[in-house]
Amino acid sequence: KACPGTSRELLQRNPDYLQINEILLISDQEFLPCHIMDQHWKFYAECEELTF
Amino acid sequence: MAEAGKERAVVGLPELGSTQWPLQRYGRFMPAGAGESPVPGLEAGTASSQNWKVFESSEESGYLVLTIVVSGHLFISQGQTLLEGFSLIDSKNWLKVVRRVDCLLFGTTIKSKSRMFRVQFSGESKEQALARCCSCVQSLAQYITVQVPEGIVQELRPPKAGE
Repeated sequence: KACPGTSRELLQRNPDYLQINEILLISDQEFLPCHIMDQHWKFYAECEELTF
Repeated sequence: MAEAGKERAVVGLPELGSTQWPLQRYGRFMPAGAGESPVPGLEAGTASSQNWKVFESSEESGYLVLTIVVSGHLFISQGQTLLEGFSLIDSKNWLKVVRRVDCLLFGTTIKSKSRMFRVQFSGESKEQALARCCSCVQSLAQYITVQVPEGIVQELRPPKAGE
């Protein structure tokens, strides 16, 4: 299962001791234009704590 | 170091050249209703908890682990599922990392598209989680500068002591 366009974010070499048998691909919803993400980034990077 | 049964220690695998840290949580930034188009009147970060798809370490869903291999590869996995996997080599052009107490925030930009994810380290105490986070930052620092925000005391100390 491969997702074109995101290959650089996916693993290329996978040490077998991790015992990976599945990859949770990145959905389109997670990708934002840089200038939008920059605003979100600024907000979270300036939080005192990243409370989940 | 005493270990609770469910708690995985920071594991060094020298023969394999990798280090692993147990994580409490992993979150992918996934803004509700966000698409290609800019949001009018966007207030960045509002309704923050709704904007993250959060994965928790648990017996049922599997334990979250962050792995850094000496080859410079970083992996985040939960059980046998790979959540993140990329090379840290020459990553400073597309990757940024910020530490916030026992959490790390990652931002990536590739082909003018950005995404964010974050992790929280686990520990029997906040101090242990913080120590693991800092140990991971040290490993990351071989490849990339981890920003520590200005003006915030990041030292380990009791809360509200001597403010």
